[in-house]
Amino acid sequence: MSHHHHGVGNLLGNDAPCVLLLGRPNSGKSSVYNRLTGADAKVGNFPGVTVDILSADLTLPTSRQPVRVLDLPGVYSLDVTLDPGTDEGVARTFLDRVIAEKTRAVLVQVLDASQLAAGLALTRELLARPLPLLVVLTQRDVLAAEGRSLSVKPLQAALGVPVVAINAHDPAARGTLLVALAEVLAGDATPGPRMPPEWDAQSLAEGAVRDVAVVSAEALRNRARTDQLDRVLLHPVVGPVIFLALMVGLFAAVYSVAGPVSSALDVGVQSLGALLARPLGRGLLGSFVTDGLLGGAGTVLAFLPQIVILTAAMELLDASGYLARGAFLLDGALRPFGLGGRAFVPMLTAHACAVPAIAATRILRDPRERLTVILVLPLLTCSARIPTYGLVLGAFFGGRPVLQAVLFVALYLVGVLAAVVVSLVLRHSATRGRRLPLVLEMPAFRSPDPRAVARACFVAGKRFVRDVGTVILACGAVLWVLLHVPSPGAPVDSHPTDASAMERSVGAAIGRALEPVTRPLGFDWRINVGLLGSFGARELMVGTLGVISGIEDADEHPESLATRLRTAQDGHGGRRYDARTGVALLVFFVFACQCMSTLAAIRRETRSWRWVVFVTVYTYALAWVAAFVASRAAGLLGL
Amino acid sequence: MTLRELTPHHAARILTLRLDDNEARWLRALGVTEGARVTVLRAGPFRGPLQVRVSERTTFAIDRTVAAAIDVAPEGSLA
Repeated sequence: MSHHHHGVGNLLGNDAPCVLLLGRPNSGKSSVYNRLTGADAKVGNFPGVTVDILSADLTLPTSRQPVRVLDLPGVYSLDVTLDPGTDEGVARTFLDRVIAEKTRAVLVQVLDASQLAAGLALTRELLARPLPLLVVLTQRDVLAAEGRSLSVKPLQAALGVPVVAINAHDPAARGTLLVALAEVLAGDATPGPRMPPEWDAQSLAEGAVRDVAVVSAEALRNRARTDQLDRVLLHPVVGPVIFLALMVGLFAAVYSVAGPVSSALDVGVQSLGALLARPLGRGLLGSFVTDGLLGGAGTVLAFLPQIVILTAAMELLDASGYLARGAFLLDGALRPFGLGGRAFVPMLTAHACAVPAIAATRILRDPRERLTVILVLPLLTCSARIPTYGLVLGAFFGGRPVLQAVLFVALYLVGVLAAVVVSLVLRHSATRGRRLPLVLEMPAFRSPDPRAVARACFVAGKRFVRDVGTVILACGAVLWVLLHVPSPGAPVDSHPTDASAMERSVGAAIGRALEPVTRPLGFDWRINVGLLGSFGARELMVGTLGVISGIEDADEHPESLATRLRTAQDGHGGRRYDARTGVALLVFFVFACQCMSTLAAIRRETRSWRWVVFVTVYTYALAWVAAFVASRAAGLLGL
Repeated sequence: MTLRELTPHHAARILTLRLDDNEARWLRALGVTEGARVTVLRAGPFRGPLQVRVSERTTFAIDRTVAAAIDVAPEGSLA
């Protein structure tokens, strides 16, 4: 079995027929995919498809026929889709293209036999497509444990397509699937004519499933377990308390596990830098490679662990069935702000990074709600802001640990508050319109499949390095150039030093040009250069301020930079920055969307530059006004 | 009587979905269809959605406004 990277151009990139796995969410589709392909898979990017679709190549044993298996996002219906960007829309678009391009393909619908009638509604939609269909019934074991038996024959006869029943946890299921696939591909498996589906899903399901025996004790226990858990987890008082505790605990875990891993990765990058510094020397090239490129790579790696760990946690919560419970608990509280219960999933993810959070909005079915969430996600406190918060709090509130802690928590809360208030405003202006009310399946609790969790982590990590990493690297390189190329017209220094060269760079000139705008906030050209760097990626702020202040390794040891910021002189014997500058800078960082990766993700998901411009303008305008108000307020409070 | 008015833990059958076409099709695709047996299990906090068991096996969170647009015929009390 081999795995492929998908080329651009042709949708599928090779001539092997493709097997498209479709099914409702929670139907056992990923177990079937794992069983068929042997767990691990490549994540393909298909042109025009924003969602990463898993695929693997395999060879059918009987016919030696190579096929490509693709795992499409879970859908309830293909025909009732509203937004081509959601999971359902993606599956629909993908299928439409396969049909339009006349790609040789087989549809495989994975259907939970214990919810037969509901799944048959999708079967009806698939039968209307001009592609061969194989129906795979899973959970037959669950059905049997419930004292019911399933007969495949009447189903097969009524549907007019082959139907196989498997237990995806049984290794022998792979053989059954492969044989059925080979028959469908050979074209001799269709037992009857493909009629326009006249049957009624409910009565067909009732005809196929029969009560035969006593319900097993285990099945009864399983059924009771979900009910008991729901009684506690969805309790009007206890439920929300548990939810909050779980989320706080989750973030504590993310940071406490990610911290040491990040440090270890950082040590690795630093020793690589030291290794390269010798042959490259301290010249321009050496500086570019070690400061510009490796520094950027170190920054990317520092954030990778928490993305992966948060993904694992969210995936576990989702697969166990808890995320749907969270949506149930929060829907009432979020509704006044024009959001639905599910919006909490991307909003939670955004506290690590807005880029995966924007991708996570694909679970929102309501296009207006989805757009609203995308537009406010940049306001939530992603982890890339934390180094800057730490630096500024250390510089101006260093002697007051309690105030420091209060301000730190306040910055998070301001982010959340800003997100819900802005979303309320947007729902009455830019994204106004009817809201689709929540209708959400709450699956029975079950233990997650560790392989599926591992796969999700791999996908998230890869996507982060691809989408965020490259931007950080590129911005770091551009910033390095801006700070090392002298501005035309700057006076020539006969004895150039690093610091004086920096002062005459193009970057410094831009920073000075921005001073009239930023002076009311207390920012001079040096801070402006930092803001310039963080326009691309806010991760670069601390490092850039360090470079400007002539302090190396500010990312690793911000204490000396904090001291430098606090004690810097303005040339008239006064302090260059004070606590009000610090407050303004913190507040500016809360609101401004200083992240090109986020803007690129918004472009990708909304398919429009309009919303990219909108987010940039509104967040920077809000950042300036809020920073101005906050610094005045800080002055009044005597900070 | 509507699903919203149904007493918790009392079973009923869905009679009609008084929703716009797209929304009704979506509910039917989920399995919330005319004739399905439904039981309200509980209501979410802060005037949140209802948790509804549909056709014995699946449970859904259903917004109160949607529940108010689903007509049901009660069957009688469950044990």
